[in-house]
Amino acid sequence: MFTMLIIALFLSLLSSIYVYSYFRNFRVLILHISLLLITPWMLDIILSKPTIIEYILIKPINLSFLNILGQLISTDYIFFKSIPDMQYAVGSYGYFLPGFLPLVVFGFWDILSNKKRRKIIIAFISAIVISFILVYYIGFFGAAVFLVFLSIFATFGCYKFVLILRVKKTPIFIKLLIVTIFLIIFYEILRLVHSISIQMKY
Amino acid sequence: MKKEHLLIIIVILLASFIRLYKLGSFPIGLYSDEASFGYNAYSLLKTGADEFGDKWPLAIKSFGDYKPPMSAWLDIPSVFIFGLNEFAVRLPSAIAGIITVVIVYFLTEEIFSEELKKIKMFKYLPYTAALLIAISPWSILFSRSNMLVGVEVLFTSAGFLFFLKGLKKSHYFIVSGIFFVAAIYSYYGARIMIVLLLVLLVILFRRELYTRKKLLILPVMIGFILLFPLTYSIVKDPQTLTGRAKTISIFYDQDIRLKLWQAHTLDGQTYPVVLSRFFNNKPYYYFTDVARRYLQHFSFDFLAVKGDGQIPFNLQKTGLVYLPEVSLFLIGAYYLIINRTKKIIALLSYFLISPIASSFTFMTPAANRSFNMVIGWSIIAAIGVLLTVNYLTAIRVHKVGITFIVLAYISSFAYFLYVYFYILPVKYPAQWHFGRRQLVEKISFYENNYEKVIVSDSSGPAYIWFLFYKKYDPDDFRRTVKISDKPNEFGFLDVKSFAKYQFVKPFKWEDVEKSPNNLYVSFEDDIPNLWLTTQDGKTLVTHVIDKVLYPNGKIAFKLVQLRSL
Repeated sequence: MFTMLIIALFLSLLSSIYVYSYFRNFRVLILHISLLLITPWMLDIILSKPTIIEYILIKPINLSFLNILGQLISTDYIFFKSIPDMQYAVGSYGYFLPGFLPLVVFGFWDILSNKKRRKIIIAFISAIVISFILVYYIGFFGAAVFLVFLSIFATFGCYKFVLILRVKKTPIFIKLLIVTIFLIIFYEILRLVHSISIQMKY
Repeated sequence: MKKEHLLIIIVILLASFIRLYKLGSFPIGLYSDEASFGYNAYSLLKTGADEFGDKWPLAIKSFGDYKPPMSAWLDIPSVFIFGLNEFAVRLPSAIAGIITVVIVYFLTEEIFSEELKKIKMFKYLPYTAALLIAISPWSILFSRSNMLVGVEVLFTSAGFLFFLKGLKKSHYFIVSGIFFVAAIYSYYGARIMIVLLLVLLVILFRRELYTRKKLLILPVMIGFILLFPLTYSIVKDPQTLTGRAKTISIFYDQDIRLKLWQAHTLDGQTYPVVLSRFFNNKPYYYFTDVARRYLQHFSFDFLAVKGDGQIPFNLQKTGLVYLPEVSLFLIGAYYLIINRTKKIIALLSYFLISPIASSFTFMTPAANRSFNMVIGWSIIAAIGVLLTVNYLTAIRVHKVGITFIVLAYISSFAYFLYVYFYILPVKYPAQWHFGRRQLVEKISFYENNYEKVIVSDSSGPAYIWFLFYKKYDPDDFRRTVKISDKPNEFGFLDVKSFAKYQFVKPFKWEDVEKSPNNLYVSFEDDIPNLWLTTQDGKTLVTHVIDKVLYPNGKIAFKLVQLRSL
């Protein structure tokens, strides 16, 4: 448990440094850490029942380049299933709650539209490559490097949504849409906590 | 002749060659749905009614899946000219595929009319987009088979093109309306797709449409008039609205219900029912399931690596788009996001809503139900190609760069052809129901010596190939056919017999009526090669009188009789 916590803290620190270096804003940093804490992949690390060694060493069945890449970047894997056959704390979830999808997409869109932030795309592509190598040679845990970046995108998206909500001129239907997304995420967090409490029993 | 005209003619000739070359022979075999469209066209041509005697139906009963009628209608002239054979059945779809290439050319020209002047290389954009769809594995797969969506995508993309043209000259709205209605008559998925597309287009171009609102009355009226027969048919028989679509929907499937039951059972011992239902309820489960299935259609695995996992659309060794094209598509998509205009947003919307209908089915990702994606994909990838070439020209490495891109495409295309024309027929011949023509020919040769022909119905509805390859008289079929009372678990109706043919499903040799006067037709393992029984004091033994072989030498079917020792 202690080792898990150290790893989780290290990854959180890594992404937090990245987020802070871009925004120089503590509120965004707190938002980022809050999002990380309610993300199944982070809870996977903190709460997983088997030892960290087991968790790190699990490899994909098919080790071909395209298969690993396909799995690593598939939305099924990231948002809906992750590694469903593993009996981890939140094994039946994806690495992110499905409600995070609009946050990640919008965050990514925002980065693409902003010339100053485009450097992160290069870092993101590098992270995919590093994740791929780690998954290939070590195990699924290597995906964590890639997931850190998705968490950063989610933070960008969430922050942008909050900013849009605060603008008075924003059309009401857009505000409603954003509020709905936040409500879905809130509902999913409750479901996640509920699922963890059930799974911990069995 | 202008150089530009020559370019598009070359692309059309290439598209035609790829789609028409040995059309009757590849895909190897004839899929049951294709045989059904062909025979229904034949029946409509001969008797003015479908195989079961319905006069010009707007939903063809077929296997109980109530197919949309357009494919059968388009097959009528083809069957009339070329006869009832594989080539004639597939020809309309192949022609639709060729015309779609032309539509993509004009669609690209229409959407990017301003951009064509901005970037030097963009003058080649319409040709590149047309070329990419001409050699697209996804497009070739559905153009060379009559599986509904080939013609549907032609009509939908043409409707989309003429809608955009209508924003300048209103009379094009009439043409657009006619094409959209034709798409609705072509495929069930289009009934969702067209509505969504039109809603988005109306929202997007509301100002332009508002200024011409009087001019819209006529196209809308024509659209409604053309849809009236379908509406009337739906009122008369609700099957016409959805057909088999309802049996493949996620709401028909038990998967979600099972998951919910499992979750409630786990919760049951610890939490109150209300709380369990709050966390595990149908709306949330279905919502996430649809979202998951929708996103699967954009997965790298589906598009570039494995393609559709369902038979017969599984290309086995390759994806639906070329692997090098993925990066070019991303470059193109990036450009469009940055430089979005209303028309570009319309194109992106068309691309993004294409898999929505498919997302409500439990067999996802599906290449056929999301086939409209191919239009947007080809255009966006073409932008990626030209932007890359433009960039390479700017840094003066265009010769190496262009050679690299061309080689990447040529090698990918060559590999696809190898898979399509060699791997699929040799290694996966059963996928396209190979062997039925040879089987019917052999049965026709032997059948006069027997009272009954008992056929295994285990893989595809066997009766349709008898009707198709024998060019069986539709009236004779209607007089003798016996159909199951209820649909099976997949929503299909089974033809149990007609004339001297009996179709047994599931085929269990021990349960089949035994007589030396019967001819038995089965897959390799259905009937034991050596089997003995005693009947009326005689010992009967199985004897294989003939076989149908796959191209790889394996046994597809065997024809068996019972002989007395």
